[in-house]
Amino acid sequence: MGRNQSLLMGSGLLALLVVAALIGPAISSSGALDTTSAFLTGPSVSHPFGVDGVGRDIFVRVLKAIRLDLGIALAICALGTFAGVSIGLVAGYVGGLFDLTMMRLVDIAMSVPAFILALITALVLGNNARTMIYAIALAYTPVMIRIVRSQVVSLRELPMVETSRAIGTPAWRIILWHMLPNTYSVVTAQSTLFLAWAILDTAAMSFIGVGVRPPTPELGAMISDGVQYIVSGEWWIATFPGIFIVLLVVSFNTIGDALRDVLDPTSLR
Amino acid sequence: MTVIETGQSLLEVEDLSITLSTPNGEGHVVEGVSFEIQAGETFGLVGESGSGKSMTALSLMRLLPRVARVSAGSIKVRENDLMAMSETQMRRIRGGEIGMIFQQARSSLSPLMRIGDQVERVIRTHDSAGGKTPRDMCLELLDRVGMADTRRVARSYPHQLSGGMAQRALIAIVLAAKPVLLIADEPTTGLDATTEAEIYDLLRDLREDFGLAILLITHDLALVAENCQRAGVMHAGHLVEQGDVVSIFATPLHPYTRGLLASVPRMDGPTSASVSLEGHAPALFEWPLTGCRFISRCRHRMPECTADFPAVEPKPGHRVMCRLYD
Repeated sequence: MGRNQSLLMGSGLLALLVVAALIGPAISSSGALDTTSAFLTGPSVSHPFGVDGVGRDIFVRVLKAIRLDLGIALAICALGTFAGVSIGLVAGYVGGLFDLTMMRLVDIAMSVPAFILALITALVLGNNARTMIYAIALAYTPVMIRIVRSQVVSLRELPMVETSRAIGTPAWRIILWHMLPNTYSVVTAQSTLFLAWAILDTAAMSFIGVGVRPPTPELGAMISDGVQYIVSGEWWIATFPGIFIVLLVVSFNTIGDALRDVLDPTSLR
Repeated sequence: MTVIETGQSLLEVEDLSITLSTPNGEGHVVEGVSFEIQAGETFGLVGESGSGKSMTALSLMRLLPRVARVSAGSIKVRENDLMAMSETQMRRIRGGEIGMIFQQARSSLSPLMRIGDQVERVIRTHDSAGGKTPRDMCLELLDRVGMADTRRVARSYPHQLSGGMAQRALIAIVLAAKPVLLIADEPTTGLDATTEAEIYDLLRDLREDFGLAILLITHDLALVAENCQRAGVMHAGHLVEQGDVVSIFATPLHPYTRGLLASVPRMDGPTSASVSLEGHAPALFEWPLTGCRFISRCRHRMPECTADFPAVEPKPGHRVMCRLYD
């Protein structure tokens, strides 16, 4: 499959999910917390994804949850990207002791799996949705620092930097005008992957009871809720949220991988 | 552009030494170099690779790589001591007083920014538009450096320009800050002969029109003969000879300069294979610690060459660092 096709497919799938999440709950008659008496019934015309143990419509809850999970993922991605790019730019361009210190901290942070790091941080900061977002973003930041820093270290040696300094450009302008724009391709690709990771990690955290709590509809929490029913045959409660986690992650990963190829500077020029 | 009287001294370098810290210890890549450049003249600095000419140029901007530092001497631009300046003051000097163009013009330009934007940013940074809009001044500058369709060039990205046009664009960017001294470090390496001639014509015009002083760094003696009024010859970190170009080419004094000139094939000379200098320029750390650094290749070496000695001036304005002329 060509990279442009996969980019198109990934974005198409994502667009579909976003549109469904945005207009779905609006046109549906029942809310995410409304209950019916038809609890634990399987998929039907009136309840396409079935009804859960307390009588809530899973279709409506899934759409609401996609909206919430996308929002959380975007927040994590934005925080992690912003922090990582800022620190990476400065460390790469300035070098010296700051660079050395930052890179050793990054090494330490990256020696612990991101999920474990985020989990511990979230528990230390206090277990709620907001701290979970900070914790996951913090766990992703070292990856972005390292990527941006390595890019900047090689950019720094280009003749254009020397030329820029030779016409009296202050360091901060060289960083903003010449270093930052030249990291767009790697940053875009990595932040798309952050979105995919964030969907997974948010779901995983909520599944084990950290972050978003029931009854708020969240894909991981919904799976957690449905697990107990799987053995008794009510498969739809955990399955549908699971399918949508997969779809979200697949769309972001496809876009991220395709972007990495499309935005590769060597294929551009 | 500030009009500066021709003949006024713009740059004075005195007893400049640059020390390089390497894992093998410290080496003096440039030692005891003194020269001055006056407004409206082109001064050529010739030498082989590693002779210290580029290091000298970078030190004038205080842009030496981290491993190198100026260990002695003074650099004065219009009477202002560069060594005593703060980094903020230096930023005004860089570009505003001294501009520098490099050999790889295209990679000296930002690949993601249109040429026009790059020129305009320099105009804004140095606030040099003088009443005009930055856009107008940018088009004027592009026209001044000989671009045909200035509007189209302003919209172009560096990769859309030819090598010669990229160098012209770089010159426009450097001129946008209105420098009084332009350092050109092998500005035409990699360009074809016709383009090279055009770039040098442009530099000469700019020098005459703006009273710009140019420091031309090259290893090409022919370019120095054609373009410079005065020149200096560098060998292993020493400025071994300097004077006006006619005098240097007609009566070279230092054995190294003589060897260099003898190795240039001439149209009117014998057709035999060109003479090259014996041996090779000594590398850093192979240099004699005191005295003449050309000693191992010199036919005229004398016992007193091994001790340090000052440059002498056997003819007015023509200085040489050699014991033959004591």
